[in-house]
Amino acid sequence: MTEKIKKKKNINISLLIGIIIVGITVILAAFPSLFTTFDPEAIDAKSMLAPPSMLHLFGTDNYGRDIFSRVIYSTRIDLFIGVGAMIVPFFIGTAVGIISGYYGGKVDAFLMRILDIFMAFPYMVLAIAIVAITGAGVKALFISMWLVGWKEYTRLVRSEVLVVKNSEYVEAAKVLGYSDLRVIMRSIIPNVLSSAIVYGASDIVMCMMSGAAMSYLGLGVQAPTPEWGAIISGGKAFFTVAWWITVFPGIFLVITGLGFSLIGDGLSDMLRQKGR
Amino acid sequence: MSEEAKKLVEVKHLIKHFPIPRKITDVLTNKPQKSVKAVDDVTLDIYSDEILALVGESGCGKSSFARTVIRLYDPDSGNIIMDGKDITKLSKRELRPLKRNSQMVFQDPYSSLNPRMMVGDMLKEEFIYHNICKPEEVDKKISDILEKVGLSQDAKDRFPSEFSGGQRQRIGIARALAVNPKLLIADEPVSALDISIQAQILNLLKELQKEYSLTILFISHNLNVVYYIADRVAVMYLGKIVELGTTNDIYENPLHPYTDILIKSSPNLDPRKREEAPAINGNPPSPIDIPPGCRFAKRCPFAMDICHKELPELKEITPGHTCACHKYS
Amino acid sequence: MAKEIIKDNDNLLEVNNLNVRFYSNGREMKAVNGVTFNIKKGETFGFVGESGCGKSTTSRAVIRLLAENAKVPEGEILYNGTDILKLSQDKLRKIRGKEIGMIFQEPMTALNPVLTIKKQVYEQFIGTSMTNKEKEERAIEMLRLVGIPSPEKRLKEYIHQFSGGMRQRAMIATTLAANPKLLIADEPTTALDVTIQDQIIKLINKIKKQMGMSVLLITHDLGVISQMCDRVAVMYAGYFVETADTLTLFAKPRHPYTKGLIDALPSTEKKNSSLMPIKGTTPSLAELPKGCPFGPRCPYCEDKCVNELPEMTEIESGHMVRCHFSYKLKNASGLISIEEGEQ
Repeated sequence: MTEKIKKKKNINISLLIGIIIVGITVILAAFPSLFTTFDPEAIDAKSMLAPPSMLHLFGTDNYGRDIFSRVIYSTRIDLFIGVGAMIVPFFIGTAVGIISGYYGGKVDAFLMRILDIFMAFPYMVLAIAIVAITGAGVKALFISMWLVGWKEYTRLVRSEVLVVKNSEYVEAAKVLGYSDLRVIMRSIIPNVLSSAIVYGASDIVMCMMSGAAMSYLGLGVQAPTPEWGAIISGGKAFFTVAWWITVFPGIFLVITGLGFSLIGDGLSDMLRQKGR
Repeated sequence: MSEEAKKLVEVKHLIKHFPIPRKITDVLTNKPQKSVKAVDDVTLDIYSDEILALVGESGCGKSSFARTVIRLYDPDSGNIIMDGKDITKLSKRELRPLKRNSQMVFQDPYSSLNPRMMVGDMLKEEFIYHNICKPEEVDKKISDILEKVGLSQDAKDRFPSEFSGGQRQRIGIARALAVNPKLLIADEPVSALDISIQAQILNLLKELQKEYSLTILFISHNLNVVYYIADRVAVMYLGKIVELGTTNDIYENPLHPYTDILIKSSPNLDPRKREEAPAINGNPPSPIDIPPGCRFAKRCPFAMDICHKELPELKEITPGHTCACHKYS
Repeated sequence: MAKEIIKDNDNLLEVNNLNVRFYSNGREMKAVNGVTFNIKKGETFGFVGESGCGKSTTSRAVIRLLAENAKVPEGEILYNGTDILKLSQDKLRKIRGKEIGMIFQEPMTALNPVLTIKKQVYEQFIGTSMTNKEKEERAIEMLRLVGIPSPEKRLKEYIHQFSGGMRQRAMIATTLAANPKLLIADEPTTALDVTIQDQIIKLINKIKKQMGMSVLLITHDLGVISQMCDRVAVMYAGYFVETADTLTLFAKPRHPYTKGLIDALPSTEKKNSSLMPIKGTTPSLAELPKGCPFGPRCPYCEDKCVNELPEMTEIESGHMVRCHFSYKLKNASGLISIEEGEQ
C-alpha cells in the first residue's frame, strides 16, 4: 500500500524555453529579410573572408557573401527539412505500429519482418543509393529520411499498443460491441500517441542534423542555396584562417536543436503527469 | 431457485483452451502442442434475476469462463445460449447488436477506464452507438445513470484520474448498466478496494440488481464476499465446476472436499479459533498437464483408488445441489 | 502520550511519539502522526488499516527504510534500548537483516532474480565465522523449516523456478536465516490464494514460536489479524486510533472507525445482516482536518471532534482509544461475542 502523492501542476520550464527558442527560429525563417541587410547569395569580391565586424556581423566567406544573412536565410530550409523529414515517418510509423500491435499474429509477423529489413540497412548507404538514382538535392534527402525514419515510431507505438490492448478498458470497449476502428481511434490511439509525439520532437533535431550532415557531404542541399550544413561544409577548407564561416552556423544548428529537444523533454514530463 | 425459473444463459459443455506457443525446437522434434485447459467442459445455467457466484483460486478458469460466455474469447467447443438464442457461432458483426445484453464490471478500477476520456463522453458514446435514446435525451440519461450509481453530476466533465478507487468502480458500473444489459458479469469487482469502500460497492450492486432485475455472474475468490451477495454458488477447480448449489447449501453443507477446504482456509475472524495446521498442503497442479481422474485427487484427504483413474461427473445429490465427487456414487 | 507506556524490560521494540513527514512539490504529507507502541519478546503485533493509512510507512521507519523525501522530525525507536534513529549507517546495517528481518508482499520483487536461493541465504551469513559446510547445513535447515520439499535441490534454483506459495516460503527462509529477533511482515499473504494464505499464516505462526521471534504484521485484512496477532493497532490517516489485544478489538471495538470496519466487513459469521459501509473517503494526508481525522466520516461527530484532536486514552487495561466519545460505544457489539470474564 503506497501513500498517494499528488503532484502539483507547475509551469514546465524546459517546455517554455524550448517554445521560445523554436518560436524565434520560426520568426527568422518566416521573415529573414527583416533581420538582414545583405542578399545571402550576393558575391562581393572586395570583402572576401572578412572577419566579423559591425558591417558583417558574422564575417564573410570566400566569395565575400555575408555569413549572417546566409545563416538567417538557412533557417527556413533547415526547419523545413527537420519538420518535413519527421512528419511523414511519424504518421506512417505510427499507423504501422498500431496495426501491427493491435492485430498481432500474422499481420504483426509480416510487418515486423519488413521492419527488420529496414533496420538492417545502413542509412548513409541507402541515402547515397537514392542520390545515385534521383541526383543530389532536397528530394533525395526527404526520400531517404522517410524510408528510414518510420521504423522507430513503429517500434515505439507497437510496444505501447501491446500493453494498452490488453487493458481492461479496451476489453470493456469490446464488450460494448464497438468496431475495431472505433476501439483503435477512441481507446488505443489517445493512449499510445504521447511517446511518439515526444520522440517526434527530438526526431526533428535528428532530421535537421542528418539533413545538415548530408548537405555537408554534398548529397543534400546544393550551393549556392544557404543551408547550415552546406555553409559549414563550404567553410571547412578555410577553418584555420576564417573560423567564423563554420562556427556561427554551427551555433545556430545547436541552439535550434536544443530548442526542439527541450520541447520534447517538456512534453514528455507533461504527458506523463497527465497520464497518471 | 425454483425449477420454473427462467434460464437467461445456458452454457453447455463449454471448452476453452489456450495453446502455449511452442519453441522452434519443439516444432522440429514434433512435440505435441500443449495448452492451458482454462475451461474444460463446463455446463452451467444462469437463471434470470439471480446472483450466481463463481468462486475458485487464481488460475482455476473462472475469469476465462466469464470472458468466453461474453464472447471476448472464442470458445473451442460447446454452446452458449443467451436468452434462447445460440450465440456460440455468431460472427463479430452479428454479435455486435447483441453485445449490449451482457456487460462486464472489471477488477482493477485503475486500468478499466480509458484515462483520456471524460466520464460523460464515455457514456454518451454508448448511448449513441447502441441507439439507447434520442440525441437530445443523452444528457438526461447521463445524469440519471450517474445518480443511480451514486456519483455527483459534475463527474461527467472529469477524467478518471480525478476519482478514487471506489468512485472509479462506480463509473465502471455506470458504463456497464448504461446499455440496459440483462446479464452483468462482475469479475472480482471489489477485490482491489478497501473494506469500507468494498461494502459501498457490494451494497450498490445488490440495490441495482433488484432495481433493474439484473442477472449477475459474480466472480470472486473471496468467500466472505460471495456469502454476502450470492444466491447460488458454483465452485471451480482447474477448469471444471466441482460443486454448485444455493449459498446456504454450499456454506452450511459443503459436499465436495475442495469446497470444504476453501471455506476452512478462509481466515476465521474469531481469534480464539486458531488452528495449528493449514487446511490443505501443497499447490494446485498446473492446468497444462492435468492427470486423469478427479483433478483434486492428488490433494484430497478422502481420495480413493477410483479418484485417480476416473473423472467424477457432476451429479445432483440433493435438489438443486450438485457435486462432482466419487464419495457420492 | 509516552508517559502512559509503562517501561517494561520485556520490550524488544519501543516506539515513542514517532512522526513521519513526506515532502513533495512543496507540500507536506503527514504520513505518521505521534505513533507510540511496543512489541514484547515473542509477541505478534499487528497494524491494520486501509491503503494510505501509514501502516507500511511506520514499519519502514522502524528500520529507517524511508524514501529520500521523507523526514522523521520527532520520535524515538528503541530496539533493545538503543535508538535506531540515532545509529550510524554502519551500526544500522548490523541491525537490519541480522536483528530485524523483513518480508514483503511480492517475493518476486523482494528477492534477486539473478542469484540462486543459496547465494541469497549465504548473504545473510556475511560477517559470521561460519564455514561453507555450516552455511550449507544452515541453509538447508532453513528451507526445511519453511516446508520446501527436497531443499538440497531447491537451494540451487532461482526464484522464478518456484511456484507462488513456495516463493513466499523461500523469501521467509532467506530472511530468517540470519535468525532475526524481530520479523516485519508487510502484507505477506495479500497476493496469495486463500489456501496458500492459510499455509503461510500457519507457517509464520509456527516459526515464530520455534524461534522465539517477535513479529510486526502489516495487513489490511482483519481475518489475517485475527489468526496471527496478540495485539493490534488500528491506523487511520497516520494516527493510531485504537490499540487492544486481538480478542478485545474484535469483541468490543470502542473507536467508531474500528466499529465501522467491522460492520463493513462481509463475513460468514454474520448471518443475514446487511453491510454498513463507512460513508465518504479517507482524507488527504496533506490536508488533515484540525480535529479528529475520522470526524468527517464519523456518525458520532460533534463540535468538539471538529475542533480538537482527541488523545490516545486508556479506557481499560491495555485498551487505548483516540476518541472523545468512546463511551458511546461502550455497549456496542463487535464481530464476535465474549463472555464476562473471558479473556
